[in-house]
Amino acid sequence: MTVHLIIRRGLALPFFCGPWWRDHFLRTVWQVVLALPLAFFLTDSARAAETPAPESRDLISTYRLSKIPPDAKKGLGSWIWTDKTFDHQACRLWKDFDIPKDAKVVEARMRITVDDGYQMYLDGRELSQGANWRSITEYDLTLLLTPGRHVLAISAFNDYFAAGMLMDFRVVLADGRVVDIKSDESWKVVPEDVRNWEKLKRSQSGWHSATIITPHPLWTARDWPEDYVVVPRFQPLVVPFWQTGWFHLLLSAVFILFFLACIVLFFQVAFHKKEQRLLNQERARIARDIHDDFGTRLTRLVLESEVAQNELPEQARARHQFSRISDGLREALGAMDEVLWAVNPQRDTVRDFVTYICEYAQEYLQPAGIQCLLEVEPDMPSLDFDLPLRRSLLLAVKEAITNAAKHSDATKLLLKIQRQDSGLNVIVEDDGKGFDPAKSSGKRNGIGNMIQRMNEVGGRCAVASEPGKGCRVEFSIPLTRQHSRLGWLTRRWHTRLEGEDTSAGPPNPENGEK
Amino acid sequence: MKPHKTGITAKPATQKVKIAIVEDQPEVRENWSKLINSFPDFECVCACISGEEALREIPKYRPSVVLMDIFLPRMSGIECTAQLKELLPETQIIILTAMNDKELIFLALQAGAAGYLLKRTKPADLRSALLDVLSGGSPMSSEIARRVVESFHRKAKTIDKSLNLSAREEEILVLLSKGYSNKAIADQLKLSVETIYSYLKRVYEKMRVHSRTEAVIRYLSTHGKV
Repeated sequence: MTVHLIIRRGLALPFFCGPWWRDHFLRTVWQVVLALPLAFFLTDSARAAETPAPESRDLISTYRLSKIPPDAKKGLGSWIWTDKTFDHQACRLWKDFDIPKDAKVVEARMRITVDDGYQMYLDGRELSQGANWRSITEYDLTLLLTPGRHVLAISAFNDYFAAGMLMDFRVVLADGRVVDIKSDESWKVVPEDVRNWEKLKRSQSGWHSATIITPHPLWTARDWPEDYVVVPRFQPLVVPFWQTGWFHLLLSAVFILFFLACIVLFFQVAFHKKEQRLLNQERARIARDIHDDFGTRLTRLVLESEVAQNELPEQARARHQFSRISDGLREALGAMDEVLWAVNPQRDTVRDFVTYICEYAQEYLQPAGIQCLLEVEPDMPSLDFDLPLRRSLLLAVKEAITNAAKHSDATKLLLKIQRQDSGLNVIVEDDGKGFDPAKSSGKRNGIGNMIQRMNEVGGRCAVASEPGKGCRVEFSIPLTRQHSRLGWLTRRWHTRLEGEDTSAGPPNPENGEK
Repeated sequence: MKPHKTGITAKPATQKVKIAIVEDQPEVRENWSKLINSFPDFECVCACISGEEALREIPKYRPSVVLMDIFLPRMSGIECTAQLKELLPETQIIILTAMNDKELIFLALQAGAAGYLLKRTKPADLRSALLDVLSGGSPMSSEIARRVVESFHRKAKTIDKSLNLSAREEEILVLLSKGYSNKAIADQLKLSVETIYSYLKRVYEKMRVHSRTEAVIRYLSTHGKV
């Protein structure tokens, strides 16, 4: 079972060591991508439900007047058509007109009938259709006309026999002027091969004028028109911004970008995981090599020199030298242990950090005659602890311990380690002579160093002391680095490479003592 | 392992303490046996190059202490410790390690080792460590003490109550894990340092039994018969 345990431990390389924020970011992006269309759909339909739909072609309710008004035919133009008339014929009639600038339209009333039917466009927008030559239809376009150029386009068709279009469009302006458009020869006939003709703003050279049809059989008919239909006033079509084409295009572009970004991120995460795994394999290999090559050789040399020392006569001078060689080798091995600790990817956890710092404190303080008490929260997790953070915290805590040992005259030092939210809290408390933080801030550069170290990696350092009442230094640090979301793209590889670079170097105990 | 003074005096030269070594590297093995033989009261009776050989050879000599390398080819030092402890329950096993790695050391202690030594330990410290385990003392670092308490708390629910830590044992372990020295604990609890050691020895033994499910099953079955 123990062998099994070792194997399991050996293989249990952390399978994902990437920064937590990237996964978090991906999750957020997906949530936004999924939620946005839904949000728009909901707001859109809610809006549609609460506001009455603008009157569009489909929803027009028409009113047939029971009595034909007496002036139904008054002021109408002439019947116009193209120069020839035949059965099953289409005829495109086009007319532009201007509403003077600074004028306000008070009334714009159009009466129209076509033999046999028509589709009517104003400024390219289809307004209405009609297929009953027996009736005259009246439209109220007051709200649709703004100052400037407008185009009326009527796509008329003839079923059989006589054909023609008859209309009058009377626009009354606020200052009393009247723009009156009647069906006459100023209308143009648009050839059939012109595309999007109803949207064209200018007439073109090939278009010839409409022909007045005289006499049109209906004009003289006594019982014509048989019906008079009044269509309710047209409302300007208000298109909310999210229904405009541009917005849809923009939204699609944004979604596509998001989608692409997600794919890119996905591959990067996969790549990153692979890279991280390779890196950890490499670190494990280096750790093994250091241990197997240097470690065992140096250990052999230590023993060799100890045995040699023993075999020399008691008084020999070389004996002393051998002893120094052994001690030097032991120191080298001790330093190597630290390097191995930093290089070995299996030691990247909070748990190992805690072990290390406790042992360091005890070993450092024992020769100084200071009792080192520990208060470690039980069951420290085997969570990953980012190397730059770990290193900064280690150096800062070492510095605090060194300060206490050198300057405080303390007899006891309490090292307290607690988990806090998603971070770690380390408190170094001594019972020494203390100091006044306000007065001695200049002298104690160590405190500035510690605070700076913690700030650099997003942690905090608080020093509290009073003369005669000891000193308490509290460090708190997150377990993983926090990045601002905006800068992550550019800093991604940069910081990772930097971070891993430092992992290769040994934690330098000298740094803590400066 | 920190050396400490014990009341035990060296045994007469006529009856040397028997030590066995399990170490795969010939230079290290030879030098260790030379160092041990250089002590007047110890004698290296058996030097094995592998765990398999150790299980075959060491029981013949019945040494008091076995120095066991943690990294051995094929059978690891930890596995060998566990099996050897079954064969020779009275023999104390000290793990030798080149690297100060607490994870592995904790596993070794669970397998039944009485302590550990870094291979680069000074001969004087080696001697006092040997004397320590012979006198029944098993010093324990605060880190290991903390691990032991944690591991017992985790396993407490599943295993027979009599295998749990006693209140006194836990008290000692908690004080150790807080960084108090054996002496300080002895003063605080009004016990002798030797008594503390014997408590710790019992803790090591419980830990060994705890860590081995086979051992637990065996314990439960024999317990059932009685």
